[in-house]
Amino acid sequence: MFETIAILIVFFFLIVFGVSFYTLMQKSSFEKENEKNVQLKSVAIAQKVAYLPETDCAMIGIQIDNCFDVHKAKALQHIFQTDDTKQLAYFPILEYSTITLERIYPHTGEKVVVYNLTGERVRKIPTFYPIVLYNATSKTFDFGVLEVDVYGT
Amino acid sequence: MAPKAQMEIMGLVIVVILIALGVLFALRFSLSEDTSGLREEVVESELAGSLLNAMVSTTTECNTINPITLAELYQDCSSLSNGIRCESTTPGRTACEEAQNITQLMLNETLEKWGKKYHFHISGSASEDAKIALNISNTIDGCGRLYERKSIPLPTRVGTVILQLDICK
Repeated sequence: MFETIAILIVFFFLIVFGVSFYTLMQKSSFEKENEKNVQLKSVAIAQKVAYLPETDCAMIGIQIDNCFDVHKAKALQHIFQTDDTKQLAYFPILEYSTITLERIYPHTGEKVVVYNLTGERVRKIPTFYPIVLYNATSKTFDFGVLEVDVYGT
Repeated sequence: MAPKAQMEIMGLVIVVILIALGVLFALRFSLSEDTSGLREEVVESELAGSLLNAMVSTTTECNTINPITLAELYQDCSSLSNGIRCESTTPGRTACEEAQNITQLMLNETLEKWGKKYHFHISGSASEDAKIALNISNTIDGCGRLYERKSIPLPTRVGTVILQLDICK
């Protein structure tokens, strides 16, 4: 009688341990998959931003890689700041993210926040790209950084 | 064999099966692909190239009347022609001094800030002075065997010089 009860206890202990272990592992696997999706999304959005025709530098119709036109970027920022619906129109492309252009050289510090839609999410994945900022007035290329913060759940 | 002994053997078989299942699950999850560094891998593969491209395209403050790019400063420094004297920032500064100063600032504000180790240098037909002035790194013993390397060739009067940026992994 005692042996049977002992075996049953061990048996149920093993079942409970197995189920809890499996649940734990599934949860961790789900979190990993979710993290992977957010990371891939952040790269995809950063790539889209880098080639956004609204802010690109085109010389005689030829697009320059890693180049942003400062005047176009500031104009886009102004449009988004004055009209929220315009910013929402870009949601399918840029989703919940913040796009910032920062000038590094010459005169470090100037920042242009082109797009900012956080959806009150706090967990962000930042991606940085070195770029040049074209100033069509002075015909100069400044060195800067494109920061794309993508917000995850 | 007595029925009780048979029952005990059955119990043992079930226990062994459960343990085997547990080990299988543990193996399945522990051997699953680690994707934590996926984004870093994608971003880093492009970083060195885009950084070098952006650097050489930048217009410097060396001469405000006739804008000079950083690539032109590298070229002048490499050939030691002393054709460029920067007047706007520090009067009389040579191309090598100005190029070194600007490159250091750019790398400090990007790779250094993002916590990345790097080694920037110039090779090929560049003068010894250029090789010394433009050997900028934040590692003492280089990157070792793991790095992302991008090079840009620049034509000069003395031949082709190679700008090289290694970002350590």
